[in-house]
Amino acid sequence: MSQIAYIDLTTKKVSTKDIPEQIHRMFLGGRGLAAYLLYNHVEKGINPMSPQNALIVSSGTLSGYFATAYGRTHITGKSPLTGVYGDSNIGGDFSPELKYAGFQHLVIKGKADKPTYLWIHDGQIEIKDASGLWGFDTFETQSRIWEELEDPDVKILCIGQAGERLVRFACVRSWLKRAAGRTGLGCLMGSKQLKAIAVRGTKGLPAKDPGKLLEVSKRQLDYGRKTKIFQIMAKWGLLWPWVVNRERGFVRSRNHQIIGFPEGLGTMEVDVFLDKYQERMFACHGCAMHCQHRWEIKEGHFAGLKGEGPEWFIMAGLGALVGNPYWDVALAAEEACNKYGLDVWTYANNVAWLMELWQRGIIDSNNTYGLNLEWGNRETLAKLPALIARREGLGAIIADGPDEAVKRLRKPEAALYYHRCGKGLDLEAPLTQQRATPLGCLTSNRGNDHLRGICNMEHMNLPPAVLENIFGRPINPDPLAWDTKAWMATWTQYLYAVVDALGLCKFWTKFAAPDLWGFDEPLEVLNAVTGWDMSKDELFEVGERIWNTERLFNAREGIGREGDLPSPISTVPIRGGRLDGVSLEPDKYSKMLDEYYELHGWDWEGRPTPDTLKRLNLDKEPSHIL
Amino acid sequence: MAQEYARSKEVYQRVRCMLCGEKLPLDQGQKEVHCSKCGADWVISWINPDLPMVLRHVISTYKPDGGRIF
Repeated sequence: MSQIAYIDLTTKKVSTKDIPEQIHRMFLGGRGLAAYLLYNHVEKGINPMSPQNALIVSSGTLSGYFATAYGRTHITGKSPLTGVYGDSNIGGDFSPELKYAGFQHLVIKGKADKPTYLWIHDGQIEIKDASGLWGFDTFETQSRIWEELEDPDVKILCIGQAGERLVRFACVRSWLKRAAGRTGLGCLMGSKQLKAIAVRGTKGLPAKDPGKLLEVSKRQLDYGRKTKIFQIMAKWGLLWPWVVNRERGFVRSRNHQIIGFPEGLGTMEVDVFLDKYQERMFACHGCAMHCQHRWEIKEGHFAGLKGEGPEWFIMAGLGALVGNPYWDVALAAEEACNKYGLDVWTYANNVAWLMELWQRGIIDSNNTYGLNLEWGNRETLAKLPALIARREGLGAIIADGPDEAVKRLRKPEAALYYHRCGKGLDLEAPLTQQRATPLGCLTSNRGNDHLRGICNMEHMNLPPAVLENIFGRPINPDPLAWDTKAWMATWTQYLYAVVDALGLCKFWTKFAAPDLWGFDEPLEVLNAVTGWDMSKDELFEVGERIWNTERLFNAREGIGREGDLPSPISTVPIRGGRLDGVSLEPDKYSKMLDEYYELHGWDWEGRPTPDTLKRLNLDKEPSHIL
Repeated sequence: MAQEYARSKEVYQRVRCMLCGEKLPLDQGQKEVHCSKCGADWVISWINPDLPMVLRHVISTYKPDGGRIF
């Protein structure tokens, strides 16, 4: 049985607890038990950068077992960027290794008196000196730890210079581009002077019914490999959404001012990357899809640069959003964000915002320390990640988020052009062209986020019978219809919560395609591993419980209905494309929000009612059992 | 049901117009396709011999401003 390890960096004390089966079954691991642990270990109102905040590193319940694509790690804490619930999910191979070392969750509190890293191996946890690693980027940090521990099979999570210098949108990194990107958890790690967590495990991970697990895994893998999405992902990786999203109006250029990206046609394209930059494909732990690219720039100003990725949001964020039609500078900026440990999305949103301020004449070179912020400026895009990570010049202005940047620029009107949601996270999913998706994303407990609530099936032109079969209720297939979409968002959010708790990659689920996994397929694997005989209804309720526990955390921080609303500028109708003039009408959105709250059993402010908490066995929380 | 639908010929061996959603049947290996409903022209990429995917607009007929697309 995997354990929870509690690590206090101030006192250097380490303790462990077994996870009672009853609690494990109620929350599962990964994002599920992490929500429980955060609610129990972080008091109301604490400063996210204080030693009282907890950094929780979680492995999924099914991570490490013989099943495809259960290799995701979940990282949780009170967000230094937004001040509310913060969590982020990272691929790679850390999660299974943590299980092989004997742990499912790490609860890290306190603050080290000097730079530190954790060395976790086969049930042992050592707090080691990282003074020699401080100041190095994420690539160099991992190399040096492998050398120091004399084992290249050690799996590592680490921060770069951005996390060390407490940049609010610093992230936690692994390999060359794996990132727990959103909500600034690299900043939280830096605030604890924790440079890295290294893990190596050789313990076994016995399943209750190995024969059944083998049969289920093989059957599911055989099926998955034949799906259309598998074949596309294996060749194009995560670039395929670019084509779909661009034409459906989900790609915005120039800080969300324009739908689509006409100037990138023929240059910022999937085939241009595949022909000119891609070297090969590779995969996360235990995944047959191998959707990740390795690339190299062979000519021009950035010749010799190598990296991993990119995903479609590199095209959307470091391409369209900042008005850059060229792959080489987008890849260079991505690589710099990876190296210094910055969240690429927030970086792109911040640069796009500054470029719009420049376009509107609100700022000029006197405010930018001489940097040219015209749309797509190559030098600025490539240079700014380093300036942010080192807190130099313009980088220092935006390192602490948009509110501080507005104060430092002394331009109050600048705030009007920053796209974000009520919980403070910068805009990720566009809000105007669909209904279930903006609802699912805006009500996300970490802030507007496609990985928590996007309903991709809303715009897939699926027949009504197929939609009803998936969601268990009639769904209006019109992406712009308001009715039935509250249920679509609710169902989707619970599925994603379960997926994150099990450690499964969302690209194997209905996040990506209607014929991939819903609740049934992971449930088969879960029952084979645990011997629980859990029903689909019970698994669905686990998703609901996780979602409510995260909600409880935010409610305790005083977040209510306003947290589920977009910033006014994000709902303005945008010109262009086939959905010209369509917007997220505030009164209709508000009505849909009421329906969504009712489905969850929440009050008008979006807070769980006592009856709901009792039904989900959350009425005694925080119970401090774990 | 979602699985049967996704495996059917409804989904394979054709693409949908990215603008209007019209189903566009293809001959194997066809490089470009014209949508008779909305007039858009698309470049087709073949993931494998049975699996086509829209790659982008045909640049020479793309009209970003004021044309049939925008």
